Amino acid sequence: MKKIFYIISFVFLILFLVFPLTYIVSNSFFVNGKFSFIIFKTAITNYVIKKSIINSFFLGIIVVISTSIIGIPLAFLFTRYSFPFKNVLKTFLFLPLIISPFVGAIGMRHILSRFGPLNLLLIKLKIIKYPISWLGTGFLGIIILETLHLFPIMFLNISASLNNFDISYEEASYNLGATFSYTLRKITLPLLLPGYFAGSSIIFIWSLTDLGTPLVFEFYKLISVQVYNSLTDINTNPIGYALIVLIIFLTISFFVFIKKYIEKTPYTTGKSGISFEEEKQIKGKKLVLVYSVLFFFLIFSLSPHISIIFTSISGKWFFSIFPQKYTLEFYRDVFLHPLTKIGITNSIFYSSLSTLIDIFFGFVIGFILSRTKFKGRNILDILSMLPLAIPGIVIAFGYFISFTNTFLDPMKNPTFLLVLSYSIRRLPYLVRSSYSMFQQLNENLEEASYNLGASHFFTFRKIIIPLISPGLFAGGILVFAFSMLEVSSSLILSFKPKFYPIAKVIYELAGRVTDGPYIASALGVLGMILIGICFIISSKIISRKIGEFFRI
Amino acid sequence: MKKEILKVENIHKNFGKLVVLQNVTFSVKEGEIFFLLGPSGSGKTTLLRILSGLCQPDKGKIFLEGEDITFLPTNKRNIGLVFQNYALWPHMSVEENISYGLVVRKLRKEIIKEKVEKILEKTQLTQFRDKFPSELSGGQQQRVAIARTLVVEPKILLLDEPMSNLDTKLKEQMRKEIKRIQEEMKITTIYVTHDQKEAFLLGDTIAILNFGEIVQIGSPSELTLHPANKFVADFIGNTEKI
Repeated sequence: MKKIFYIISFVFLILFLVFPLTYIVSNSFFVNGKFSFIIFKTAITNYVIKKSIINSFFLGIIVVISTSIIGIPLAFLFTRYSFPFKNVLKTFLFLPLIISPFVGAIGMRHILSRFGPLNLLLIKLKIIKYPISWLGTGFLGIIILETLHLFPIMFLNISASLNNFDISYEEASYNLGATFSYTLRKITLPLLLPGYFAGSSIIFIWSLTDLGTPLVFEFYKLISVQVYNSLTDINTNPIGYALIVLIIFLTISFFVFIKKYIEKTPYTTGKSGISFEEEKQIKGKKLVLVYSVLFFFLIFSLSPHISIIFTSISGKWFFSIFPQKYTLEFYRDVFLHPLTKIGITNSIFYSSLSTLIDIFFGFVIGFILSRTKFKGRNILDILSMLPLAIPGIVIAFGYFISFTNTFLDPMKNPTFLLVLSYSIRRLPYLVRSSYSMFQQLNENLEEASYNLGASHFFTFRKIIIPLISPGLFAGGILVFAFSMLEVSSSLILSFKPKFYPIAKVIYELAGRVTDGPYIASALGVLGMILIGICFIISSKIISRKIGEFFRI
Repeated sequence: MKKEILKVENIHKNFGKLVVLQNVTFSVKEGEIFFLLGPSGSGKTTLLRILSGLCQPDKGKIFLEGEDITFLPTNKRNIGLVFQNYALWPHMSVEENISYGLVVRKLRKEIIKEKVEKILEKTQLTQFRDKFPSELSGGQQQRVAIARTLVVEPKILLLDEPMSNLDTKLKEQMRKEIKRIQEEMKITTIYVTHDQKEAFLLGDTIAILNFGEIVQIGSPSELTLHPANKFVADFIGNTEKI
């Protein structure tokens, strides 16, 4: 029985994770059955592609730098100092993470437009005379949106390193005569490097593979958009392959580098017993300064969210700082408009299915990893964690090319592939949480049941399931929330409107001129609320911090 | 009569409403091993941190060789502290750890090399110079921590529960080791512990702390013969039972 489930898990992962990935790689090196670099040569000599690769790298590097500038000081502030309302403010810092930047982009596109609220405000305050073209090519908009979305990841990784950081490392340095800046340079920063690299590489890959935001800002010379565009003529145009292989190569090298780097430096994480002075109180004038900086920063970081909330309730919003008229009609339209109605129904259906699949495989794989001694368990472990590292666009691309012209063809009906891509992407969360539940579950509890004469099945039903289910349920809620607004596979795998999930509907509506963006914003706000509620429920159940889901 | 090197006057320290230290007054003579002995929570570690300059007292004064150093930051004091958990920097080798304080003092390379060589030999660490802290045993780590502090020739050596992370057998060995190094270098040492046995074996003078106050100061024999009160008597009495 156990063996059957073991085999099923393997088959599942090989068919829907390993196969698409190897298919991409083999197809890009073997042309007409012969090994060749021709695809890469074609890609590199193409001007647009060359430009896109350069732009994407540039984007990734800038976003890493900007998130570092924001995230690192914040991490120091929140781990080293204490001040009133610290935990509430910290929660606000995480809010940008919960919704895909491309939804916020719809609102920001308006705020930053030539005669949009920002320019009008600045003109009114007499800071500028003529409207500034903020968006320009759209590149700046992408940088801003991705920075605001991703800085919490930097914040989290640096905070985690700082929390594991023994304060006496610094004290020892001071005690030996070193100054503050010398200590920062020689002790503190080097010890934070592993966490910094981990955070930076997640951010780099993420901004490199983000598809939604550039599409909304209509900036097309980026790797992700080129991949998306290549799908329409993928059989004659191999550039998508080359770009996806490039992404896979980058992702793997980052991962290997981090693993090696962290393992090579023998970091200890022993905390000292002295902790009463670690968090310094901020009082008086300094507190006012901290609060005002945080206040303005929060407004800035939440501006995409605020902007779509405003867009969704504005009846009229032209040439004015705030909307001239407010209305709730777009929220009504969300439930009346044919496209949104389809999108919501589809997404609920797809997400529920993928949640069920993840709960099933999360439980089974967690059980196998913690309770059996099958050969090849390590491989199962690695495979089930792999999707954490692989960008959504790669998986979606892999599905598209591997299953086109099969009975799963996404052009005909993408339901199956959408559901699977959602579940594969979030599987690691559930495997992780069920594995740790099994680890905490003392085997004696099961043994006691056997000892009292219970059968395997009875023990399973009465002991294991009740003890494991809260964790699985909590994880399942998150999978559901993420899947409802999953972007890359939704955009890539759905072609016919009747199969559109929410993200594709939002994208479609945002591109229409009339009331499209307003309905899209209303739908985005509802999505935000849904995700927020799911996070609260989930973290209440497992009393775990939201942040742990966003670290390697 | 040896000259007085450190004088501590009427130190008070609160953490919020919690009184951690009050009325702490004592002086330490040059070259002696001075023990701060007390049960956990008696304020020993806080006192040591105040002496090292890592935290400031709310009231009171500290004099080092007659000079008021109460508010001098730790990096200007030259009072070396060996941390309870050693605080060896995990990204630096033994040699880099030890030479750190000398590099900070901007000494010439040859001089640094010479001093490091000498201390490595004295602490029997020469063969481990290229190892990282995580590759060393507990006893070796402790020797590195002591060497790192001693190499900058501090005026006073502060040891915070140095034996707490070692097993019983190693404790005995390290006690001898510390005594040997201390005598060889003739360095004034303030040693914090909750272990009466250690204090009575190694100490020249012992100050007994309880609830943030010094209950009695004296040589081991004075304390044994004339305990100031029942607490001291009980606390010392444990020695025989161990």
